[in-house]
Amino acid sequence: MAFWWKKTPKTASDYARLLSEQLNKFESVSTVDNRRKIQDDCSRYLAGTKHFLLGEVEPEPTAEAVDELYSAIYQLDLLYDLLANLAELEFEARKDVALLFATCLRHSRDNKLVTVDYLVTRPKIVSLMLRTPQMALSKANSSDLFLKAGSIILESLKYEQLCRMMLRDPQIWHFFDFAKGGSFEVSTESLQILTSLLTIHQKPVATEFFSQPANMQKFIEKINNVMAHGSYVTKRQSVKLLQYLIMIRAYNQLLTAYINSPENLKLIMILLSDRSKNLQLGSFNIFKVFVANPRKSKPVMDIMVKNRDKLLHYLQSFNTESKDVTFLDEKEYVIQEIESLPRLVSPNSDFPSGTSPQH
Amino acid sequence: MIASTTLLPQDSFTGRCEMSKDVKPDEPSKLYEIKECVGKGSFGDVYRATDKESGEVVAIKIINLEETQDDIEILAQEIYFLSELKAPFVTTYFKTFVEDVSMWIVMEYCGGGSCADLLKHLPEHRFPEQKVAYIVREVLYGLEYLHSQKKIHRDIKAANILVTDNGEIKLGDFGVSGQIMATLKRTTFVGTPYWMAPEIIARGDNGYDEKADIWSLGITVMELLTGQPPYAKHDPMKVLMNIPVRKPPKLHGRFTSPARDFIALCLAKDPESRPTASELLNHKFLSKLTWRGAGNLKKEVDLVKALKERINYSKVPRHSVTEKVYATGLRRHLQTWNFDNTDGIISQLPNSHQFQRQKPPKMNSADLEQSSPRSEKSPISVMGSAEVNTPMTNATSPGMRVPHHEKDFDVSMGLHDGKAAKKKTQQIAGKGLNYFRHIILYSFDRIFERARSENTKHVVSRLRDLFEEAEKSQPGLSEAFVEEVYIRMEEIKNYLVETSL
Repeated sequence: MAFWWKKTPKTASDYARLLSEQLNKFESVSTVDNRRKIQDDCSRYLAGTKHFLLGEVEPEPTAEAVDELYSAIYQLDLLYDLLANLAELEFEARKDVALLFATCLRHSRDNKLVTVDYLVTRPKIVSLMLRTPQMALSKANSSDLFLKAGSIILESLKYEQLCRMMLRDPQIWHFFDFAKGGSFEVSTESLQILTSLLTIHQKPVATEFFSQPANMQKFIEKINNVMAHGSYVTKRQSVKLLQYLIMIRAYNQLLTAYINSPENLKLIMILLSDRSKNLQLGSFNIFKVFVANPRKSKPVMDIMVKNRDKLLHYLQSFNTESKDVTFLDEKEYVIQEIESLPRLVSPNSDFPSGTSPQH
Repeated sequence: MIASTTLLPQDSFTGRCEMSKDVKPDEPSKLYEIKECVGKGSFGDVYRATDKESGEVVAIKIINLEETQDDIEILAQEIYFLSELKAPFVTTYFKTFVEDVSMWIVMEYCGGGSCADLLKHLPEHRFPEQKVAYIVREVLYGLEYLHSQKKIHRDIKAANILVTDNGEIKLGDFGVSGQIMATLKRTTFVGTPYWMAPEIIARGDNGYDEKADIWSLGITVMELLTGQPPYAKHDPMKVLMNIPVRKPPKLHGRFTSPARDFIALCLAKDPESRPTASELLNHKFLSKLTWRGAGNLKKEVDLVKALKERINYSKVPRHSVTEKVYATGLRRHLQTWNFDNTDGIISQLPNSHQFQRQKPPKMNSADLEQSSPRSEKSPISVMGSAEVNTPMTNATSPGMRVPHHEKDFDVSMGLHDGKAAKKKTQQIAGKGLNYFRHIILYSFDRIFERARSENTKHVVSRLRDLFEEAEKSQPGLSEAFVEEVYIRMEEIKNYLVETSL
């Protein structure tokens, strides 16, 4: 591996020190040429640090030397500086930053995740981590930068303690907004971040996040918003997320709250009739829970009663080509339940009584 | 209980759902002019296109997201993967758009097609050694770049080695095979077994790493020199089974010893003893080339272009670009609902008088009698009664697949993460689906229905009982059975597709 050092690192911790020095120069740099030079140096030291941590240098570094480098990374708050200057770095160097984060996060000593423990004591790094994607959006090449910043969050979300810290940070709500607008990359990754955040570590999500009414309400508001107004892709991903979340036993509160509101039912019914088969099926999986609820709220019941014939008519021809036994069972069940709803005889009913199945 | 949302005044969904005005996506069909189809796949076609503003020629793969079996998350992972590649030996990714229900992936255009394309059309159906050396060297540069980032291509073969109009080589994911992306999906896994490294097939405890690409490269060298991968005439499934147990294939015929040696090195069965891409770049098979560009494929590209023109060769896309799910003039929704008087007011007024007032008008018991199977209950009691036990059937729904964990980590960084992620996916995928009940039993029931004579029906039901017995004594048998049938069917399908091209 050929990289040539300006200043040859004498000890393992020099890797981190030299990199940290260069990163801190970005702030005061004035000319384009100087910036370029700092970029080059950063790329070089970053690659060196990465290779050292991964044991890809000759001779292979000792465990003590690697530990020494990790300690230096922590002491210098290098992870913070890397995030703060991510946009300044070159294309390949940014990838190295993401890889460096992943490597550090995985680092363990005596069964302890050293970097994770360190980050717990440095909330400002975790906070910056969540804010880096937003900063990326204002830069040139925003999609690319956003992806890198996002991948660092995704990597961190694998660790419960970091996930819990992020769950407490109001910045997470912004990812719904990013999911709604933005390029394909930005919107899909934003939803993946939300998905990871809410599905990997279910216990803290249930006991610390959805247990708070304000969070619950805001979540429903936000996810409804993307399901209603997002792009086709965002709609599909968000319907899928909601469909998955309400099935998680530990999130029973979410399920109950969701299926009790008539506004949510309206949205789901609208999606149920969307031209996209995938959206239809996704929302059917939510709709069926509204139907199966033995204690429907009055307003929810009213909507169903009012649309009884329309629903029956629509469901008769709904996804008829499916051969999925479970789906067919569920559809039949839903139809049965709706049939058992009281019938309205109203002069302005859209369907003559003949269209609904008679018993 | 939390009354959930406060946004959404009446009709806010219906009004604005019509192609969200707050999102203004770029419409690729306005930015690019689609020319001819240059490649096709089962769920997406590749087109040559030009940027209307700059005139730049690009390749656009259009994937219909309504039809593809792939999860959006997996396609997105592949896009992220592509967006991390910027090197002269790899096709460059530009941008992804979504229009209607299709994804448009804009990539660098390689006008010469793939090496498999050239092999197919060149009169001799093979390349001379020095051309192969040229191709291989360029591919190795690409692999060196990929591998240095802990990425594995996993689908190295002539069809994925693309050629520019100038005859230069680019490692790409898409060619005529239609497998744009190198994912480790079952179908891809089955699609190209001839090139697969033994450790991928055997799936030992050790998994596999970038050395798998080196094996595939060795097979590809044989393909380029002879026109076919080894055992190409044999049944692909058999070949697949045989790769891990047999000795590595050898090059037969009149070839130089450096070429033979190069292949033998790549085809070491133990991945550890295979050389790296960087090491192979110093091999004497490649050292005959003195400078970059010396042996490029310009001549071959031009020849094949001329040949194709003569026979009026063209590809017919499988999917229409213009057909739209949300076409203008069509309503976005298939059904309108009646939400009048069902909004907020009711929930705010729990008092019984107003409750009464909001009650659906003109509801008489005769109607209820007729329509409700639970006629003994009044509508109110149905609502309020806790005794009405409506079973929640959703728990078993196969639709409940974990969205996040489906990601195929193997595609991107972290060679070590892959194995764990794979295991997880398998566990999850298995949870919802009961292979015996949902597939075997279901199929038997269908066959039973189709059977005309009593005798046939009898045999079918006996067979079903036997199967049930077998599943009981050997749990998981159905899964293995279904999997094998599926693999075989896919295989045959792929074969038919290949030969019909």
